[in-house]
Amino acid sequence: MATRTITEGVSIARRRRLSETYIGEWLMTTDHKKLGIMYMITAFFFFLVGGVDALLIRTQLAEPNGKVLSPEVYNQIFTMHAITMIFLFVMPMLTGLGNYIVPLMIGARDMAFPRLNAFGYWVVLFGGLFLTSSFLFGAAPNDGWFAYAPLTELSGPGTTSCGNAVMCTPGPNMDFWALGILMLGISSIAGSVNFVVTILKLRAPGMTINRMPLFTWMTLITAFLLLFSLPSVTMASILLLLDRHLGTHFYVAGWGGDPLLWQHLFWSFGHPEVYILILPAFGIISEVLPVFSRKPIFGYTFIAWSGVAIGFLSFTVWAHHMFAVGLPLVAQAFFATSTTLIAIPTAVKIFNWLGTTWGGKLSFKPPMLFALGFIAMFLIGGLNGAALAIVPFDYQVTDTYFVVAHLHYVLFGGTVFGIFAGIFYWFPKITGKMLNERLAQVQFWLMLIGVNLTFFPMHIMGLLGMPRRIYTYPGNLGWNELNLLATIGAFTLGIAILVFIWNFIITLRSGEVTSTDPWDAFTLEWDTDTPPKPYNFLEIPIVRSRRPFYDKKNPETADWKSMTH
Amino acid sequence: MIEDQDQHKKDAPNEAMEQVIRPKLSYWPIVLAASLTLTLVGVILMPHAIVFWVGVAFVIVSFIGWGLERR
Repeated sequence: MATRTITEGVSIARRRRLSETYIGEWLMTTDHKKLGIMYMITAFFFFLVGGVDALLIRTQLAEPNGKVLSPEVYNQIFTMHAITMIFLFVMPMLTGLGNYIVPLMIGARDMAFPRLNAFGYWVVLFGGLFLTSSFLFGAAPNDGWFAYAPLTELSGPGTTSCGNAVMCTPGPNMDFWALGILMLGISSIAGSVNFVVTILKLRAPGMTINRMPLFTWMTLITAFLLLFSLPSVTMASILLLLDRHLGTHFYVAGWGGDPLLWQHLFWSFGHPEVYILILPAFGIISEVLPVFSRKPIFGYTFIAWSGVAIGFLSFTVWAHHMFAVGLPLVAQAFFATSTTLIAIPTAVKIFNWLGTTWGGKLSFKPPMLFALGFIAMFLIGGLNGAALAIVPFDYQVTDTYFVVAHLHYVLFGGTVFGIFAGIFYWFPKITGKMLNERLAQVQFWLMLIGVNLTFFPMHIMGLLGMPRRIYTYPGNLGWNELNLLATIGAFTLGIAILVFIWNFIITLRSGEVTSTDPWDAFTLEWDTDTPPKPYNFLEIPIVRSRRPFYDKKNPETADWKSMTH
Repeated sequence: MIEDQDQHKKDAPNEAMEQVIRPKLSYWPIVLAASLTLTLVGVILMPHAIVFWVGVAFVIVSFIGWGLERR
């Protein structure tokens, strides 16, 4: 009888660990480049969310007596628009760019604390979802992004009053705000500590502080600003939570508190925050302009140290947001002076950027277009900001659409243009592919037209007395056409962003594969593979000037041969 | 064949470099961030404190796990 022997193969395959799967690698990654990409994708998602909020606001205001949204929802939308754009788009986007680029720029293999870096990212993601989920509860923050107390206080039992004839916020709306801000603050602290230690301790041999790329400089200053400014808003939020839930009265005048305490605490964070949002964009522009002008940056030292000056001065100007509360004359004079002073280092930067382009062989590639757009738009935002430093003028336009125009010229015309300059500049490094140039030009011109169409009329609206955050308006105040123009401009901006999304998708699917150095750039991030290997550099480069990659490519005319710094 | 071997020799230091230098993967950062979020959701859901305390417990576990993780 035949016997049959069945031999089963011994399986040596084991189940893959989570960390070995594609998704697991992203969930558990501590690689600064992956985290940078995750930051940027998350930020862009929230940019779209905040953008939809903006379009809803502009639709509501397109015509007088608009009723597209209810007043309650409108309050939530304009508040969340600001919170989303500031804390969930601009900050994470700049952190993402910094995360990806700074270690490469300084010749490091990763950030100093990779796990802390991952933690910072996940806190931003969950914090953003936490804040945005407030819409699901019908209780999104609704008192403006600066959450003025006592408007944000919880009402007493059975009443909507704080005991001071001031309406309060009885729902959990402002709890979402306070807790969300606390959470995002934790992320910012984690990120800032990481940037400071990475930049100060992990630079390549020879990269002295005076040879650091300017984007790295601005990221370092921004990290310090965050470290020194966040404690005040953290404290303010904790006091608010104590007021709301444990019966303290820090901000309620009727019970011995002081509403101005909130404003001081908030704005001593809030104004450095403006520079936190713009300084990294200054850094991006300072990287892009020299490459596309084929010149070293003009006045490196002035650009770097004017950033430091802006950092210091940004802590001395907060009360210019509070001129209308009735500050003592001497305080008004001080804050008006300090606000005017901060225009000086800012103007130094603009002068140096223009000096960089002067006499250069300009190449109007997309990063350069956005960089030049940045300078023009930011200049308008800077000038109308300086106007707001004049106390009598500020009295006239405080809390009007003039202020909305100012901040959007700075944050959209400035920061967002800067961010797109950075995206178009570093996209080939990150993906190995080149975004479509024609679509980039379409996007740029739509954005330039859109920004001016949306925000320039707001200057006039403000001068005509249109208050910011107003739900609707009667048709006989002379604001109708201006509002309609602004709404058309907002939708133009929306189309520009759609063009970018289209460009992004087709490039990733079938875009032109690029070389490792498509712009003939100057700095170290281009002196490695594209996209870079996980360890960034096989051998850590040695730096001898401010343009180490230029030196390597042009040994005959290397910077270190002709200049000392 | 010889070319393959040469290529392998070239890649070998890169792979070794990657093994040595690449930061180790860790799930504690995401777990700690999620635990923190759960705690805050618990604050929103007060006075029902259960979610809050579950969140706090997870935060403590995450800190300990993170601290004891082999680098």
